[in-house]
Order: sequence, then structure tokens, then C-alpha cells
Amino acid sequence: MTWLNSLSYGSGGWGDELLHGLGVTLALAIATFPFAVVLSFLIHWAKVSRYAPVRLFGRAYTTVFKSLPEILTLLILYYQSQAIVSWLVGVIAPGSHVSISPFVAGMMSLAFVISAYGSEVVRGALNAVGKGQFEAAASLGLSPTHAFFKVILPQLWRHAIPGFGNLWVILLKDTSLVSVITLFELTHVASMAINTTRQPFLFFGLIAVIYVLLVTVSTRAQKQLEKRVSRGFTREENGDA
Amino acid sequence: MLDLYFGEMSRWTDGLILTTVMSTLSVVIGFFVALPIALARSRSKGITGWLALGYVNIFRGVPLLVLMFLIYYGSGQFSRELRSAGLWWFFRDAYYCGLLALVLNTAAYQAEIIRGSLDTIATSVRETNAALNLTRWTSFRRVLLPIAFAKALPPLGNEYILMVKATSLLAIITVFDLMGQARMIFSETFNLGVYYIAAAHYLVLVLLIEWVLRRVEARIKWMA
Repeated sequence: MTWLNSLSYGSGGWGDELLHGLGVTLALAIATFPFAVVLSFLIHWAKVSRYAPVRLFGRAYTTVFKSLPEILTLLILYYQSQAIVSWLVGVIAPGSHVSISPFVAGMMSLAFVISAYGSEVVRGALNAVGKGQFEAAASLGLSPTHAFFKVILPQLWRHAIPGFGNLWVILLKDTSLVSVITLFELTHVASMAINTTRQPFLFFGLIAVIYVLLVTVSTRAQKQLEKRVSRGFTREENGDA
Repeated sequence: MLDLYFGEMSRWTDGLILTTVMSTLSVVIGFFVALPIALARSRSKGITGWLALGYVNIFRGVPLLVLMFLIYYGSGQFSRELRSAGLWWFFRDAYYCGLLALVLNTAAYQAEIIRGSLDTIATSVRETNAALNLTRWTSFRRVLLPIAFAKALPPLGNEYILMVKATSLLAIITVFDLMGQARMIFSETFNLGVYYIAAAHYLVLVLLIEWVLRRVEARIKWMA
């Protein structure tokens, strides 16, 4: 049972380190998701803006972040933001040193990638709510901001949950890529454990199981949420259950 | 930045070719792996249905990077057994391991796509086939599969693009695809422009594939 030793919770085993890695993985995903959702709305609005350059920006943003491999986006943003920050620090306070943490770089690039897909979720959900709601709100004298937060948004979630739920799962799995820029999340901790224990199958198998469990729990929760938000609606209104 | 491209032209081309070959191979092989799984998901309610569901849930749940590590590095733990089984030549090679991981991953996604389009075919089509006295196999091969394939083409095209992007992970297990070449050149020059050139490659490749897919889809609109 030597393999149990290497998973033990203590100085000899990697149990506590793995648990910490799991915490970082979850923290990264949870910290990124709200940003990604807000960005999704902003990008969607950019794409339907009345100003042509803003529309162009929105379209370019989606095309670029949907076409580039996530890992390439991550590397470019990590190194480039590092270069920019170093340059800025050099101008403002020469001699001091500031570095971008892999966590922040990971958050940025994952939020960008997820929001590129998310803007389409937002578009679909807004279409499902329908233009009539906006017009009705406007005829009642609500300002566009008011109409959005009080009328549209409460109805929007019901249509956006499946889309954003899928994106959450993608985000959860994509956090593993941040191990490449040495963030100590689950995958990176496993790689480190393997360097000393020489049991690659055990550790990678274990974290694979953990990821599958995380995804399964997320999908279950999403189904529950969908059920909850669509109570009081008929099957037709929900576009068939 | 331009000399980073023209000076290393042959490596960029090699990388581009390998990326295209690996993604195409994995999507095509994955399709044939996905077919029986999709059928089991769509028709069978017994043990095969459960197995297919398990396959899909597991391989859609594991991050591709972890799957590659598990196959490529994980197999090292069993090198003696694999050697005696005569399979070591396969698991020793990062290219084969990477391809295996890509195929296993895409098959899970494609199975769900095909199942989805199989399930949307109206029962009347199946009844018509029965009325025409087609056997179940003929009905599947000559009627249901072509319809399902045409319906599934847009999402399958999407999956192809996702696989082109996913092949970039091969670079982490030392395969020299586009990303692998970029990492190599970067480690020699420490010039960030290398990654921008790689990005331009991916952008052009993906846009090109999208353009071709749109043309193909336009031609078979009658089926969907």
C-alpha cells in the first residue's frame, strides 16, 4: 500500500498539497467567472453598438479569442503584461520591481476567452426575452438602465443559465492550463508530486477523477438551477424541457 | 518580427502541417469512435447505454491536458508491463499518446453531437423506412446516417475548430506542432513576437476552416 503513503496528509505525503491545489483551482475559477459574465455583456453591447468602431472592436475581440488556443492567449498575456508592467514601473519608479502573478494572468486570459463565447450566450438570451419587453418598459417611462436591471435581467437568467453553465464547466477545465505558467493549482501540484514520487499514473489519475467529480457536481447543480428558474413556466415556454 | 517568421520559415511550415494533420486525424478517427457511442446513447437503454454515458461523462470531464499527461507520463509507470505486452512503442511516443488523448476527447463530444442529431430525426422517417421494408441496418446506413450527418455538420465543424486549438496542448508533451515550434523558437530568442506569429497562424487557419465550412454548409442546406 505504498501508494496510500504518497497521498497521506502530512510531510511525507501529498494529500495536503493536493487539497491546497484544489483550493487554488476553485479559487481561480470562482474569481474569474463573475468577470467573464460581466465582460460577456459588455462585449455583446459592443457588438450591437451604434458606433461602427465599437462594433468592429466587439467582433474582432470575439474572433481573436475564439480562434486562438487558450494556452497561447495565456502565454501572450502573461509575458506581454509582464513586459508592460515592468516598463511602466521603470518609468514611474526606476529600480523597483513588480511582477504579474500567474493567478492574475490566468484570470485575465480565461475571462477574455470565456467572455468571447459568453457574448453569444447573452445575445441568445436577450433574443429569447424579446424586444417587446424593452419597448414595454420604455413606454412605461423606465430609463434604459432601469429597464435593463428591473425588467430584462430578471427574465434573462432563465435563458442564460444553460449557456453560462457550459462555460463554467469549460472554465473549470481550462484552469488546468494555468499550470503551464507555474500557478500552484491541482495539475501543477500533481506534476510536482510526480517529480519526487515517480508515480505519474496515480497522481494524474487522481486529479482526473477530481476534475470529473467537479464537472459532475457542476452539471447537477446547473440542472437543479434550471429546474428552479423554470418553475411556473410550461414546457413550451421553456422551449421543451 | 518579420525575420522571426522568414528566418524560421521551414519550422513554421512544419508546425502548421503537423497541427493540421493532427487535428484532422483526431477528428476523423474520433468520428468513427463516436458513431457506436452515439448509437448506444440514442438507442440502447441497457448496459451499453450506461457505458456510453459513462464514457461521455468521463472524457468530457477530464481536462485534455490532464488526459495527455495521464496517457503519456502515466503509462511510464507501467513501462515494464507495456513492454512485455508489446505496446511500448505506442506509449513511448508523444505523438501517438497525444493523438490517442485527442481522439478519446473529441469522440466524447462528437458522440453527443451525433446523438443529438439522430434524436431530432422524426419518427415518421423511421416508420417510412419500415413501410418500405428496409432492414434496420439499411435504413440506418442509407437514410438515418446521411440525414444525421448533414444535421450534425455545423456543430462537427465547430468541433474541428476546437480540435485545431486543442492540438496546441501537444506542445506541452514535447510534440512540435505550431505551438511546439513557437515554444522552441521562443526559448532560443526570448522574443515575444514569436507567440504573436503563432497567433497569426492560428487565426488564419481557423478563419480559413470557417470559410470552407460555411461554403460546404451552404451546399447541403436542403438536408437540415
